[in-house]
Amino acid sequence: MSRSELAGRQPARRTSGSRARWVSRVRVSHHSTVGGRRVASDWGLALAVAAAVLVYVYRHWPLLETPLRQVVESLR
Amino acid sequence: MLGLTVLPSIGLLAVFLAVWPWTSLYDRRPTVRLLATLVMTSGVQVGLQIVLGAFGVLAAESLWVATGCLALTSILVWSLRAGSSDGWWPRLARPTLLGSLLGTLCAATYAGLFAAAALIPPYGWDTLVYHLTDVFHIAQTGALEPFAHPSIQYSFPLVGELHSSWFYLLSGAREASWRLVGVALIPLALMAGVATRATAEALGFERTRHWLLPATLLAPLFLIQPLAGYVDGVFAALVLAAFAFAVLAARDERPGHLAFVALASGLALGTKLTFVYFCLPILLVLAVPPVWRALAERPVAWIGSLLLLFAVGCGFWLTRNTLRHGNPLFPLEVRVGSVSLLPGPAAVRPGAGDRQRFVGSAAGWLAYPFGESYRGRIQYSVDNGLGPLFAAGLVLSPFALIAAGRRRDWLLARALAALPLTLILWFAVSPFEHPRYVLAGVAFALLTLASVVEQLERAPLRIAQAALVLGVLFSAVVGLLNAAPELPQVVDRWRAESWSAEDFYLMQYGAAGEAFNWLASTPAHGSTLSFDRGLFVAPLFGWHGRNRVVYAAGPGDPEKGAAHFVATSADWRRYLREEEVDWFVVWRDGWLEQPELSIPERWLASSAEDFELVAEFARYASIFRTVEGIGVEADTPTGPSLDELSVADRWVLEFSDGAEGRPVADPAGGVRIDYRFTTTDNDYLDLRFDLSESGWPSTAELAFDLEAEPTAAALYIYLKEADPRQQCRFRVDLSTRRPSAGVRLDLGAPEARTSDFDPERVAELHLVLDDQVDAQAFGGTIRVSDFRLELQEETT
Repeated sequence: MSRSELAGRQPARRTSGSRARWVSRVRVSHHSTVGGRRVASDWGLALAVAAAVLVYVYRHWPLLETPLRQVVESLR
Repeated sequence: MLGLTVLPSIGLLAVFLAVWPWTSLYDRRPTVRLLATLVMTSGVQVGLQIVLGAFGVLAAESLWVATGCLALTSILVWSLRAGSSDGWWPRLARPTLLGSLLGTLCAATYAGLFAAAALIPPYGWDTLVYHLTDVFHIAQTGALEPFAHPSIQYSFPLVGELHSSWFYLLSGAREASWRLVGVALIPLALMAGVATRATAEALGFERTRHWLLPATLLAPLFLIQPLAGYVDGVFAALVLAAFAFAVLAARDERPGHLAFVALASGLALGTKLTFVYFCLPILLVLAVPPVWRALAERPVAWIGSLLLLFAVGCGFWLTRNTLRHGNPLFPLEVRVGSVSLLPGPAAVRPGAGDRQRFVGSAAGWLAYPFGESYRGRIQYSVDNGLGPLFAAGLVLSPFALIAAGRRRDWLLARALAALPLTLILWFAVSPFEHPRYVLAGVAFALLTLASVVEQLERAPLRIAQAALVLGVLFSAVVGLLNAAPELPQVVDRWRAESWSAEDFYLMQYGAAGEAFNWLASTPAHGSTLSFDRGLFVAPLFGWHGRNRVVYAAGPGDPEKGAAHFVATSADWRRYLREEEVDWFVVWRDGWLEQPELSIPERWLASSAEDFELVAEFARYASIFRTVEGIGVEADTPTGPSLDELSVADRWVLEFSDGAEGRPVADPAGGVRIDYRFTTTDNDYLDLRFDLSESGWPSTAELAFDLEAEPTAAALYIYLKEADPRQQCRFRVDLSTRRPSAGVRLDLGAPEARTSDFDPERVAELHLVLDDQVDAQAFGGTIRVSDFRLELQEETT
């Protein structure tokens, strides 16, 4: 296997069979272990995603609450 | 209303089924094949209408015949092929539980959106200015010549509008068909979602594929845009489709993918000319030699085919603009440095247009993704609503790019660069800063998030997935609740059985909305209407689309080729009589503090006897009925000769500020002025001529010949009395006028005048050259000659 393939690059004109092998190579190269250097921990990345979504939801909560309250009131 | 969608949907399904079996020859992967079918369906919708429109026979009947023939022929030929039964049914992977739940959420949300569409008519500002206008105009004329818009919309390509006209025409162009103009755009969101998933599959993403399609479809702005009738969703879908095929081409190195890149790109450019710069992320993905190596065997045939496919969506419009203006991208100006390669009135340069609607300063955009504000508060509108996953993707973008680089997965890195590149282009090149222009960036952000989540395991994976599901859920609910302004109130009134779709215009546009509905209900079908400025053109057709609407360009309108042009009040009134205009509508931009009077409005004020005021709608609209014999006028007295104005020595330099220039006699006759603005502040030059004779009739026109190369300067003409405080002013914009053309100034309708000014007492004429771009020093030459006073033509 070539160095570039080990690094996750894909050969051209792959078939469905080789695609599965390529996907497995992508999977083993985690952020935390890429090239033996640390980019960010899995926990850090997951929490960054969660924090970004939660901050957005918190700040835009009126866009949910206000119309929803109006709908509920009109249904009463 | 939803009953109206049945026939157009059948037509759409017929095209889809005509295309579907053939795409199995291209790629059997269900997602790629579905995307190819959707893009080809869009291409056939557009292509059929362009062909019929080019022959002037674009109508419901011809479109049905063409669609039916195409579908039957396609399916018949496919059925006669050996082994053709293979092509119909794809092998689908078993959906995951989460995928099924998100798919159900998606279906429920879009069912809600269709229900909302039954209450909300197309309402967006641009829709009422030109998207809906062009649909009405296409249906009335059976051709593709856009309506003679007063502004640059006259040269816009119409691929987005052709998706709307497909529904409008196939529903029978009935009185309620205008309601479908926005509904017609909803299916395009599916193309965007499928494109995002196809890209993810091409990049090898496994764990995230099941939520990428619903997450794209449920981005708030994809839910908001169609009801308004805006085409940014169409544009984003086509950009994403071209991007997906580009990633596939870079991965598989098959020319077939490039063919679909070309088709989708042409359609995208035919939707919005801004694709000329928003295409860069696609070009970046394709910017490696192996992608193109596959074309080497038969380069001429392949390149020819790619160009033809590209031309399906945009060739008609680019050719039209080239023939009209010598610039296929007109009105965009293509410039390299200071050299204008392709001239046009809309320069592609960064600008802060409309920024204040969203953020206070350029730095405000950094925080904006986490606080999507509109007019001072957190709010979605037709212009914004990118959603939580866009914000999250933006935060994770640097990490994802670094990780892709360290893995030396350069295809993934190029694909992930699409998000920052799109935002940089939007900020650095786009003259207007509307978040809706980067709607495709929502999908790029989702792909960024997917590339990160793809690498996680165990608990971090579950946390990230939970956050993503929360983001999708929030987007769906908030997007649907805000899919149109004041939607809960609309539902409330509908439940009280006091709702008609037209009421929505009253909620959104107030008195102007009353004017819209008045125009749909009062003039008899077939009446002819005209208007003074291109604020709201579509309502003039009546919502039923039966009114005839005409417009002649006037001074101040950009040069537009073949459109009728009127230079003076007399020309204008003659035009109204020749076109048998029954009603004239004056729109006022009442949303501005001090709206300027339009030129026709000034003309109308000076010939009030030709118009009868019928209705007024606060400070937004006045509707006049034209009287019989409009434009018939009595003779007016003649004025003095103005030959002396061509004597250069008689002109004196009154004042200059940062500008140089002096009048000299030109060998060709008249007076030449070589001028130069020398500072980076406002520079101007004022030349005075003392008239030897006054007594100019106010009903005459001051005419003269003016030669001036287009430059960012304005020529003001002031007429002043002996007491120079009494004056009037005219303006000629040198940047948009023809280089050599006559100028005619209606003395009865100047741009501005003091209250007591009377042309009978005019004593001085001033020519003032003023730079319109302060930031640079530049100069030019004008030649003025053959000054004369002309009586407005007798029009009987």
